[in-house]
Amino acid sequence: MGATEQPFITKYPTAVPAMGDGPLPVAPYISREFFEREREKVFKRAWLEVARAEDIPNPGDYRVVDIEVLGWSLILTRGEDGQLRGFHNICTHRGNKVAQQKAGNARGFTCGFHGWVFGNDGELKYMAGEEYFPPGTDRCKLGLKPVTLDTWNGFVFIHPQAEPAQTLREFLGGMADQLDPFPFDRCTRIARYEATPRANWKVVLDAFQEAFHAIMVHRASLPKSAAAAPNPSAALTSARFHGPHRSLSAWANPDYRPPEVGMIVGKYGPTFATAKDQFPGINPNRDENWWFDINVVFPNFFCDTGPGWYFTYNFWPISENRTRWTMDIYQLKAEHAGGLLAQEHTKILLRDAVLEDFSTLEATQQMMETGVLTHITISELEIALRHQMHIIDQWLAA
Amino acid sequence: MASGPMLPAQFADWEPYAATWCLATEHARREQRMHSTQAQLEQFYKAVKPRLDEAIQYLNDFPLDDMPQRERNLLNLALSLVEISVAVELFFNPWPLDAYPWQEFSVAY
Ligand code: FES
Ligand SMILES: [Fe+2]
Repeated sequence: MGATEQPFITKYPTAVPAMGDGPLPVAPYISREFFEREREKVFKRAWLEVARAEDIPNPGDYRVVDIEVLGWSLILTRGEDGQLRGFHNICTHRGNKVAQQKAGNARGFTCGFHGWVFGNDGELKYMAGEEYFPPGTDRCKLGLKPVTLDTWNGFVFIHPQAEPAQTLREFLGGMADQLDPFPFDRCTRIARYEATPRANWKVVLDAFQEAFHAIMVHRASLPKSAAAAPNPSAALTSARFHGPHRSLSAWANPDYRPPEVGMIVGKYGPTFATAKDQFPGINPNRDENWWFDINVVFPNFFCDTGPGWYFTYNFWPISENRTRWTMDIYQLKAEHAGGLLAQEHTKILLRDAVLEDFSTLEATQQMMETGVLTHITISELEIALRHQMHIIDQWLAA
Repeated sequence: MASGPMLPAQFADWEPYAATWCLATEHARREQRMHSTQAQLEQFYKAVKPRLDEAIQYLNDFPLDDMPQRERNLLNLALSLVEISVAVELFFNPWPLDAYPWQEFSVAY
């Protein structure tokens, strides 16, 4: 940008918390002690997104979810009554895992150790050796241990506490208000990716909560789409703060045209490279050259939305420098081959762009761990990183 | 290789690519892309792209959930073209340069 040009102005429709403007410390990205505090104060006290309800559609369907940061293995199961429930995957006899498969359909679970049988409502249905247990041993009190579970728009969240201070809806607050109109129930998953980079969960997450890096990291995949005059640094067009959550709208260059195959398939449906349409639950600020919304649900879930598609990320900490990352892409059902090919283009471009995003993670972690830098220098383009650290500090202090 | 034609008659000139690129899953198409040379990807792209729109219009008349086998093959070939188009149009290389190793990145479908 020339010295005479005005910088592109990001709009802030919600109040911007007082977060200061100093550099951010490196220690939270590399310190084991800090990670242990995050585990106790953040991950053990937040609603955590673990599945889509349509992953467990029918009575008897179940899915095992491992949550490394809590050390938990959970069974999400739909009972014969249609109710979705969550249980710890632990036999109340001597602690063996009761579900051995990752997913399936079963009326219940038979422990492989001594054969106790639990229904998919959690109750202990058959207690092998019952007559040998001391008098007063109550089978009714030996059901699977439930976990707090709730859903919002088909997203299944669990809470590590038996009685969370806030309901899921209260926790989501303004983020839920913003996203409620989006037709999540009409979309289906078309892709799932997974990787386990050697990097702190926030190093991984931060790579997806600013658009600034597009000018360099995505110079091959999305040239000139995220940045151009009058916005050469890919500044956000708007950003909203909803309590601990944040929503960022990326700017699109109105003159950008994708290469030929993207243009051909783009005639038959929305693609990631040409997302201009109006659609419920997106572009909350009605920004002019809007591209897509990056919606960050604290602490570790993204639900990014566009016209007819959305994609999610989960960033699951394993240790201070190892993260299990998953991405799911969902789209409205294609009506014909052309629509399907447009969706495929969105998927492939997103997937390959994410491979570019991943190129910096392990190097950044490795170099942060040298201790050469004690702080990182943060611009307004990266306001989401500042907000994240501000919220984490609050949760650690509370 | 299949004995008869794999594709609808009006796309017979793409038959030489059918055995390689009529692939039903993203995983298979990605693997084929990764194990091809850039020259092979460019050759496939040059052969198919000029009539891609014609193929889409032809396929749009068939129900997605219930396509005859040759039309299904044609759709899978077009999906492969989308998969490799970014290599030809954007990366000039089978895989993005300076990217995370693709083998470390699991594709579920
Ligand atoms: S540990 Fe499950 S039946 Fe004994
Ligand atoms: Fe990116």
